[in-house]
Amino acid sequence: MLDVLPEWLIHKILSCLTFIEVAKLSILSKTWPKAWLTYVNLDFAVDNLNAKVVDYIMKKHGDEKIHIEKFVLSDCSGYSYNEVFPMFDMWLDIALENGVKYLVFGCAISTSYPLPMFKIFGN
Amino acid sequence: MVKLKSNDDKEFEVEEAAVIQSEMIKNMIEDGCATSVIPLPNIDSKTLIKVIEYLNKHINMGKAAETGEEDDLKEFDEQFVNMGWEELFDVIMAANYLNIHELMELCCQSAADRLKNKSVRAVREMLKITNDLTEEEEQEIINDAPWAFEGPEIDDTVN
Repeated sequence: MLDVLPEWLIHKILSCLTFIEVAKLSILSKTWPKAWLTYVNLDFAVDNLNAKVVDYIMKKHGDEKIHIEKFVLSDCSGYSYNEVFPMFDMWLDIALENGVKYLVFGCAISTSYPLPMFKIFGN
Repeated sequence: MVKLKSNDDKEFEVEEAAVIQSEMIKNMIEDGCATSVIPLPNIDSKTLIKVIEYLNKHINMGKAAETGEEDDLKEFDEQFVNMGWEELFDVIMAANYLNIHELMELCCQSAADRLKNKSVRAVREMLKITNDLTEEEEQEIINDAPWAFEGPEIDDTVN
């Protein structure tokens, strides 16, 4: 039935689900594999999601130039700054290149992430 | 009172205060286009009855907070979305056509909640989706993002 639903509605419903849920639905049928790749609201809590998953998703969006509307990163406890900061740099680059409008870096790690302000305002 | 007509030719009278929660009808009234019956060619009477039920309950929603009726509304909403998939999608399409934002959000959230943690098999059965992927294609998708298909919370029941 969802096969015949308009695309905007599928996206609307998907936007109420977590990224992993949406990724899982990619296996439903041929019309679905790409649906999760067009997910534009990326809201991650790295602690319970695993930095590798975020990394994979961001690279996919970067490679295929998929628009990103919102990028939220929260709760990176469990990771040390030297592990995640290089990834933050890359994710931020991808988010900015893909047109992000809403950006939140809310990570409580012992060392705070030096947000590259010039890069952000430059975009 | 405003008169609405479903696509199976049934007429319904709705209070203006209720019906203006629909942006579409509100605009029609403001433009003076709602003097007689408003035909709704995309909505059948069964769906329209549900939509009107929602509109009547959510009339003066702004006042609900003052009068302590918020819990009552929440309970109503929970009961309201307790319907089958087809009916739910009919209401969503009607809410979209009539441009009733809150109703749209409520129903889409309900659809999403029903899909949460469900196994792929269960989702296919619930939504009557035919699997047209070959085993190789399926495996390829799983290999691409294995983290999406593992986890202890996967629910295989259909309801």
